[in-house]
Amino acid sequence: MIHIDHLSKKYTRGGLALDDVTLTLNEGMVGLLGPNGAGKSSLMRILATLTPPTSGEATLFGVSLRQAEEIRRMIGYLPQQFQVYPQLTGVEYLDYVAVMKGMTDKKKRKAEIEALLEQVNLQDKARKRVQTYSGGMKRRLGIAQALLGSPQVLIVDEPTAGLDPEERVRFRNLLTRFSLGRIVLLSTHIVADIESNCRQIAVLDKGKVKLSGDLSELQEFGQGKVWEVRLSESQFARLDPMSVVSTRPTEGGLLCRIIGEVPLEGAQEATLVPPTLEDGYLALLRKGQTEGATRG
Amino acid sequence: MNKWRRLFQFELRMLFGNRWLLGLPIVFGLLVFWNLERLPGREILFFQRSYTSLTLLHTMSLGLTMLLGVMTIRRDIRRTSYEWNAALPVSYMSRISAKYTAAVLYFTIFSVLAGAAFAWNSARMDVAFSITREFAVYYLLTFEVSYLVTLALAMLLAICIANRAVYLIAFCAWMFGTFFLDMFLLDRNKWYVLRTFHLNQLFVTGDADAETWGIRLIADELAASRWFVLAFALLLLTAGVLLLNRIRPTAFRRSNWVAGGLALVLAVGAFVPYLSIWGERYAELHAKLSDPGVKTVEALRDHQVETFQIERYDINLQREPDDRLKIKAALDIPAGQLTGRSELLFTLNRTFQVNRLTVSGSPVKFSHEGERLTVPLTAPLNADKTVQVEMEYAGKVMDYVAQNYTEGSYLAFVKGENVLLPGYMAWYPLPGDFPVYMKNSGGSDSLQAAVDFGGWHLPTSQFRISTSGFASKVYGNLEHMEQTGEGQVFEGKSAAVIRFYSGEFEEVSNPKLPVRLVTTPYDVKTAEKLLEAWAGEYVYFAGWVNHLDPKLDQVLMLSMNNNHSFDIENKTYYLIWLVSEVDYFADQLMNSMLLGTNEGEMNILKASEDVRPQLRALMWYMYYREYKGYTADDLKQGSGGGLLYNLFEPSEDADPDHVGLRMAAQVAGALDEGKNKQVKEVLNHFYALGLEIPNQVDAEGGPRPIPYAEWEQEWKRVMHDADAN
Repeated sequence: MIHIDHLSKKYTRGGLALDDVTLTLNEGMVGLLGPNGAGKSSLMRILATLTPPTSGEATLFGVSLRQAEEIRRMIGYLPQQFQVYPQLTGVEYLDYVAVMKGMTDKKKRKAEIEALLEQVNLQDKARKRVQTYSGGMKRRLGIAQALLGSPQVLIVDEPTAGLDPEERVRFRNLLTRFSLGRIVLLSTHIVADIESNCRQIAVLDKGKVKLSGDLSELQEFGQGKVWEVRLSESQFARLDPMSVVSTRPTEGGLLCRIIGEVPLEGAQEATLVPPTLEDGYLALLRKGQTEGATRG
Repeated sequence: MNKWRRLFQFELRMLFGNRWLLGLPIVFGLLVFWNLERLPGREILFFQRSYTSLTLLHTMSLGLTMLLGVMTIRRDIRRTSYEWNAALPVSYMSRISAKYTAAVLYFTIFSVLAGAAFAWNSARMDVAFSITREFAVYYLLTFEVSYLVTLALAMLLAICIANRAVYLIAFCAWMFGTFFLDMFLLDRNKWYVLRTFHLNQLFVTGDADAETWGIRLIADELAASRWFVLAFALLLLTAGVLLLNRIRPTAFRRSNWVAGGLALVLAVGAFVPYLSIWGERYAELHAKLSDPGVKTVEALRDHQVETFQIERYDINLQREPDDRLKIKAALDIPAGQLTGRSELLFTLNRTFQVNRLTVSGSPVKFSHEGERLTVPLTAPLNADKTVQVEMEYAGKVMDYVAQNYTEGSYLAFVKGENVLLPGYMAWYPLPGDFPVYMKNSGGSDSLQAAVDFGGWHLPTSQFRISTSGFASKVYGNLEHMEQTGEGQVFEGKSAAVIRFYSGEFEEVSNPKLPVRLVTTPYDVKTAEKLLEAWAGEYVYFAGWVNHLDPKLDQVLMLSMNNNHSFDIENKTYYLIWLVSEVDYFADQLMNSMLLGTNEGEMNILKASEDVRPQLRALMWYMYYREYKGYTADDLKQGSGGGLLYNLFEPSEDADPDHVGLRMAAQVAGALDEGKNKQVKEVLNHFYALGLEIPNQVDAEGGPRPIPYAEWEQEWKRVMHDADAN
């Protein structure tokens, strides 16, 4: 279990990256959702002991972040930007990381590396230099290094970036399998990444926790706020683009899925529809923006 | 340990797995070997030239060190895309130390190559193994220490500056740490104490680039400097780890600060012995600079020395194992010249403490301020007798001056087997108040030997000096009489101050030449070539010059950064630099041997009144015509070089009657007619009269001027006789 207690992070030259974040994250896959700049990466870097918080505290399975060396033995981490020494082969790289993680038994190390390479579908390229890998392959290698040593907590920051749809599905399943009895903290701004696998989510926006709960709670946010309306092209052009979730051309206009408290004025055939998870997420973010604008 | 070993192996692979980096030591090795191999006139000044060559190459290689130090950090530390590394359970101390050790190992190849290249060339010069080893190890260690600190600095810079600007900053640090530090801080401000911060430790020269004494003289400073540099490198590395641990959380923050503190204490602790060496040097230097008794160049112009004759010196010069000198001096002073004097004024270096002083057997109260040793004459003097002054004094001689052309040097020293004891530094009592030091005209912040200002003129004395306790054979400008069980005995008359030298020297001789040449091991081959060329000339002159009287029997060929040179003193010639081909110096030495000094030549105002300079030149004219086979025209065109100057190139003021040209034309005509024998007869006649031209002050009883008329008369006599026959 991860307890995050009033955690804040202020960068010397920037603003507040995290503002009094309090969360409790249970075992299983945990999705950390939020727009770019919401503070997801800052939170993950703090939990990965790469940077200290300005204030607050967090514990991972009862171990305080202050015991940074202890924490590092418990975690696997894949940062948002990931590069590997191009001179090494995939196997050499993973072996290096395994030794750094304290895996001293050569045979065990080898077996685990082989298994992981198969899981991330890199067994064919394992003995090629990393400089020959595509972006997606490097990403998969990054996932493999994070999984090495079966850490209690896996922290993966935007892990699906650069992966093709098939790899993305394979990757989600891999993480789901891995999350049994562990915590996998996955940050993303793509709702689909967490939709099928995460038991728990937390939504961050502008450094604050907007929501912490399960998927249905997020989805619930869109209840009564998602409309399907038919609009002419001229009406669509006047529409606030932030409120539109999707559009589909129809005869004589566009069928738009919009988020709002009331259907659009002048719109024909406005129908209240059941929200998706993404609708709930967008409604939550929009609520925050509206509140901010009102306060402003 | 597993982790560290793996980190180290990884870093080694990053360095040695890179074909460019792998190729660089090979390129460096080739450059070093090639440079030392192709040194111009390789055997002349091999040591100095190889030192300069290695220094430059080392400076260049330090640029690479700086670059590699930055790259090794920027490879993964403080790079966002390699942040996964920081989340691994590995301490920064392990990572930085592994990186550092691997890089040091890489640069050790450079150090070994530099040492090996020197050793190879040294062995080829037949230099003794122990000396080759000494200098090869010196280069290896010096290179290594420079690499150690430069790497640490570069790594710290890369840790502090996360963006690419660090390359520019590192380049500036390299330039500053090698070139600008030398030019602006050390030289301009004479802050030589800072030379330990020079990235290229070979620039810690003093006289290090001179083989004569060189690094042996500053061995203690070098050792202290190296220890400090190592401690400083450790401090830089510790600071780097500390900074990284401030960025990344750690549970051992307190331990890190303690380690940083310890590294700082260690660096400061290592700086103390180094600083104390400089403190001692500067304390003595400043004591002299603040002494009103030490005059400026301007004040010395009006300084008149009232001297008196010391008939006989009997000196016992003893070196103690700790380099302290214990000296007993007995002086016989003719009393007649002292009438009316109430005191005797001697010059004795302030470094000595006079423990006992007697005049004619009775202890007297004396004063020793600066170099002025004042001895009262209390007892009535008997004009027919001699006053006997005996004194015992002791002290250490390490006379440092901050002279910017050598980054500081010693005017006199006794350190192990290395000895420089010039009389002008008053290591024995000189009669009169002679200036030993002088402040430079630019201000009172620099000091030099007063002898640089002008020659000293002392009355002739009989010397007997016995030395003991010296680690190596002592050489001097007095005749060496005997080797005793305890040391050496020198004896002879001298109007010049007595100088003694000792060190890692070798004696070189040539069976055809009655001369001993003393030089340093790396100049032995040059010396042999020089003696060979000189012997050819000597055999030529000995073949026709009747009663050839060699004016020198010893040459001290000791290359060093020291401008205290002299010509001939008591049959000893002192050669401190060699830059041209050995033939030039062979000519100079033969000239001095055959004809003696020409110091007084400047006093001859009109050539027709004294043709000794022209006669000296004619001796060489014969040599060039007969031995070298030049024609009269060749020599007129300048093929004979500087020794024929007084025949063909004197100024209109010095030789308005062109007597030189006329004499040369006479000789040329006679030689063309085959009258070589007659020309030699004429020249022998004048050689027997004496062709030395000493300074007029010393000229009493010496060779007399030879007017042109006398030449004409002798020429006519010999040529007339020849025609008559």
